[in-house]
Amino acid sequence: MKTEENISPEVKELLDALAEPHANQQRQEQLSQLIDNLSAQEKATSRRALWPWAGMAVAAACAALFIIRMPNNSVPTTMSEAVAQTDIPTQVTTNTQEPINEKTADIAMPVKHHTPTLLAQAIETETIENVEITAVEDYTTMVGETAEEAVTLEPSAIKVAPPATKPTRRVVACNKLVCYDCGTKHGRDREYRDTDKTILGTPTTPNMDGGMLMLASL
Amino acid sequence: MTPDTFKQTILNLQPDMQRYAKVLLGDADAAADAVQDAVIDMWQHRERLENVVNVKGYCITMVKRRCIDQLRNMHPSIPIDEETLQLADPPPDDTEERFLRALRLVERLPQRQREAILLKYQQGKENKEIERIMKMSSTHLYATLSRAYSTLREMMQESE
Repeated sequence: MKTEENISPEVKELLDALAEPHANQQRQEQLSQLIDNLSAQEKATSRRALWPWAGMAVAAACAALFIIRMPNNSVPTTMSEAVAQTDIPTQVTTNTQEPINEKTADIAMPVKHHTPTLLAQAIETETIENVEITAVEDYTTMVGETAEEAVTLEPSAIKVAPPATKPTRRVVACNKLVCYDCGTKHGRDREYRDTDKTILGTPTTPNMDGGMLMLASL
Repeated sequence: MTPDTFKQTILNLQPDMQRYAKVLLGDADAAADAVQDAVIDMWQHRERLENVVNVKGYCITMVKRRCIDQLRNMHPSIPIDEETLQLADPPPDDTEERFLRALRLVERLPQRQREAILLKYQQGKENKEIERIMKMSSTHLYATLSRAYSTLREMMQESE
């Protein structure tokens, strides 16, 4: 189509005048629509700008809620702290096959996250003051001193004979025994210390000789 | 400023801005672009409008700046006519007068030519739509419009 090509400038101006009211009306409608679009765009942009803040607020609320509800897994350094953490789930196993004596409740190790609780529980159930650590080579063979004798022993007495020799048991009594690394280290890396920070031994130390550590209460 | 307030304040001045831009740019479409750019600019800085006393003058100034930008982009080597830029107000609104004059001339055209011209210019319809409404081919429409342009030119020369 070449309809516009034959129009002289005068006629074009005349016809533009004819079209002007309608053209202006159309342009105003277009501009009105443009303003609406810009306004909607601004609103959407402002909403998007709030999203990071809303996200941060939600994250902060979640973090606060988590902190409030998070159980205190910190390892206590005193027996009173251990007693205070009795709400921590416990895994208590009682060795009924080879009891040391009638008053002894053997709690098998290794213990994860619940050593303080076990200690506290032992204290509550047996109403005793002393908690002892018992080093044995295995569950089935327990010979040697009685728990009463063990009370008098020093922590340095924690020695286990090599497997080639006759299995022995050394019971070491120490008050307020806690596992300082419980909750952060597990298995063979665990260290057992007295409250004076003396390392009693680990499952990998030579004097333990791969023996099991057991908590026993009188 | 809400969109409705802005529309009432600014868009009512669109014909003035359009005429002013057309005088500067010499083209209706380029003028419409300049007006649109100016309106967008004013919307984005609409908080300034609340302190403006002479809104019409403010709008004309905004359009003028846009027109200068366009002229510089279109003809970077040609100096801008400073006299034209000194124009403070849009040309007088003779839209209605020119419209009535054009309408009087168009009404003297033959019926088919008049209908084609009014559909195309007064109602702003596209050629395809006019062909459908008037049930004529594109060639026929082209010939009809050409005859109408020729007749109008003759009538304008007679009236002068």
